[in-house]
Amino acid sequence: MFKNCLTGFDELFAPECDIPAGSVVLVTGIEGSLKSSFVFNLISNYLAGSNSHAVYATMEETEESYIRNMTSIGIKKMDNMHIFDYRDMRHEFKDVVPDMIKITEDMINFYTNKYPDLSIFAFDSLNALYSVLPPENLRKIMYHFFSMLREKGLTAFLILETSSREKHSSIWNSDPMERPEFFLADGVIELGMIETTENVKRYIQIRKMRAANHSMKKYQLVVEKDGIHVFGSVY
Amino acid sequence: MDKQGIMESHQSSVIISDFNSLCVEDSNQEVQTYMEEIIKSNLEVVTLSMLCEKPMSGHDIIRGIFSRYMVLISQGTVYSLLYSLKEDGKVLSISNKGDMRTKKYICAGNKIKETQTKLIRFVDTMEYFLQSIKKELHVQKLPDRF
Repeated sequence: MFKNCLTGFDELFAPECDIPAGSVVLVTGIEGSLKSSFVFNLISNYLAGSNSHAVYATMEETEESYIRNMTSIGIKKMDNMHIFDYRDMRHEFKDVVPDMIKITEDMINFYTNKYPDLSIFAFDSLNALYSVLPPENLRKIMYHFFSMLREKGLTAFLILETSSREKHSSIWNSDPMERPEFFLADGVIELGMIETTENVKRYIQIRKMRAANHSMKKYQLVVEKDGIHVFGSVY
Repeated sequence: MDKQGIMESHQSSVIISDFNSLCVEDSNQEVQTYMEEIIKSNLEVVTLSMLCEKPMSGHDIIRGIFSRYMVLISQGTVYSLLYSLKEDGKVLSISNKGDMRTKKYICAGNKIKETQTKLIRFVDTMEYFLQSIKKELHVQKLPDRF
């Protein structure tokens, strides 16, 4: 159950509802909205005391950097979470245009063979992936990518950063043909910030979650000594 | 077979020569298909045997396997294997001075005996397996590596 993995996260779901296993979930938000930390924390707590395994694939940071950042906010990396760093490969094959989807599929196949209990996959981030994909075939490639993830039967969290509030809005208003991930995803969890005259609050909102009744409200996201907690509605 | 024997049997020049002659002699795709299946099924053994020789990056391993066996292994598979071997403590990663981003991997010192034993057992098992098939088929002559 994912909804019990962060304090207060269950408030966003109706009783008996959760992120359905096997869903492909987009986690989107502006910089500093805790996207990576949220996903890392959710998975770490899910894996704690579990026989399941997860792969956290990163195109953004090194494993050491992730662990340092997560440790600083009280999030532990579990032994059954395996970090795949595309940066080594991209550096060593810098003169080759990588087939990222094939590479990702082979990587998932490797970990699935080694750990039959592999059930979670996280990808950080789609923005970095787009930078190495041919833009003219983006929709087709992303359709294949999402289909591949569904065929593997893994619950997948795909991180998508929006660099500013303005850009964030434009993404939601843009032609879905240009933003295929939003309609291809089974779920969309939005993280963001709300500024008031007195302070700034981080929030979490489930924009979409197929096969699960959920609140549409924005809930406060707070970092405590032991990681991320979800508090009551921000309004 | 001892450690020295394993290392000698993996001298790339000998292997490339034998494999090329094998392909030419048989002149068919079947040999290549067998080789691909063997390498992919035993990638950990192949990789560890290479890392016992010298430190190598993921790029070096992909290139090395291709030059020895004419088999191209996916980056997604090789780098996953290297990260996994590192997690298991079987290999260590080291960075070059002046190029901190290129990671080279080498068999971990405290596990090297265990790794060598595993490689020796693998070679012995394969030798027994191949000898059994040779006897069954009454094969007159196969390349030395068989």
